[in-house]
Amino acid sequence: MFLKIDPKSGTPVYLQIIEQIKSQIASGRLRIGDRLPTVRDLAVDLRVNPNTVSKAYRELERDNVLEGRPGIGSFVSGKVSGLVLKRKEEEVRRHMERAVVEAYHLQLQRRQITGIFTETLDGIYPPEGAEGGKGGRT
Amino acid sequence: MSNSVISTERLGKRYGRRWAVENLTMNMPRGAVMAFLGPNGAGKTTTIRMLQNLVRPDRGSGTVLGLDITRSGPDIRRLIGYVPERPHMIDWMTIDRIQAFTASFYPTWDGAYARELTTRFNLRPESKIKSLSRGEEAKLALLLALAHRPELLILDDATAGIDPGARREILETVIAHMHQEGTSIFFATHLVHEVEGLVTIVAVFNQGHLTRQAPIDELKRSIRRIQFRSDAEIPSPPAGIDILMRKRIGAIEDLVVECPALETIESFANANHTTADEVSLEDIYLALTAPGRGTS
Repeated sequence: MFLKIDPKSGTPVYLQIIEQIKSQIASGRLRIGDRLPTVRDLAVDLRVNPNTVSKAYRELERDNVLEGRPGIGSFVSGKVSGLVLKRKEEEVRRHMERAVVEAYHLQLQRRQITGIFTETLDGIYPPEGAEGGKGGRT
Repeated sequence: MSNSVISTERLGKRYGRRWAVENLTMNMPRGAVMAFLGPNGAGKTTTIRMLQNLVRPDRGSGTVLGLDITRSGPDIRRLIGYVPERPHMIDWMTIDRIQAFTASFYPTWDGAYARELTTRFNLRPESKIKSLSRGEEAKLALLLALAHRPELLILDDATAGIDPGARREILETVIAHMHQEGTSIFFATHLVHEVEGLVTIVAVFNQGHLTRQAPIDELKRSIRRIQFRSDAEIPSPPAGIDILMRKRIGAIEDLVVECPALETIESFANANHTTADEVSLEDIYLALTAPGRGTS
């Protein structure tokens, strides 16, 4: 299966689709130019409402993660995000803050958080000299 | 044209002294996928039969696709697709024959689509209906309900008692169909998890009454589960938090609560050293139909 969606989760299904497609691109499983399943095929496969898949694709297109070619399908986009650097940093800071607050409540130590952060980072942005990966989209 | 596909106002049906449906006011907008949830005997099937004028209401009123349910039975039945829990099909007929027979009632019957579905469901046109398995019977009933491309599809526990493979085929076909046609879908079911990813609106029906009707996203956003150790003193939640269900499981006191402001639930949980967890549609359904809900 292309994505693993849990309709039982309290996270709306369209957000789960968005997060997983973004993460597959970040990890290199999906590459620039790859074609995504059609709305119909993905909806049938995941057994979710086709409008939910449409909504996820639309948001991903709006954010330049995907590129819709009318009548052909949706593709992983090579376009650069239109946001200025400051806005991009704000966006990432917001996500990191959420993760750190969560870690605080789970009573993780500073070095444990740093460890998880470095591991995650290495998975997507391999350290200098290592093989593979592309170190961030565009 | 009306923006509702189904609309009822204080609809009721009585059998003897018992109200099977007591006072049902609900509204299903066009394009929605509505889960009509309720325990067995809650009055779901009676409601569905009233909507098609197969049963006459004893009070109240309603429309389906803008047509008055007490006056336009045949017109309504031509415009909608209906899959009952136990389809009554003329069992000496072959699959081919019943398609031709059913087609004669529907001006919009699409023979090519019917053949496409026959193939997709692996049904043999020359098979007699009495020789079909329960799963094949349900697939045939769905085919007969879809081939005239209805604006509204009503499924009354259509996948109850069917093996998982056939259930999956039925759901996938419904999804592909709604993608193509934008059909509104009314799912009466108690297999809640099966339709969770499809549903846009939830209507919970219990003991002849509509307990709740709301968009699924709204319910999922405002309902949480909180668990306390039952030997500690259980604090009462602040104003604004509604307790939907409360029960004890061993050493745990299990609460399902609702509040439009999620922060209120979260700070209540945090202040008591526990967490507010997300809930599935099944949890929501069980909480909303729990006996004596709202009391401890």
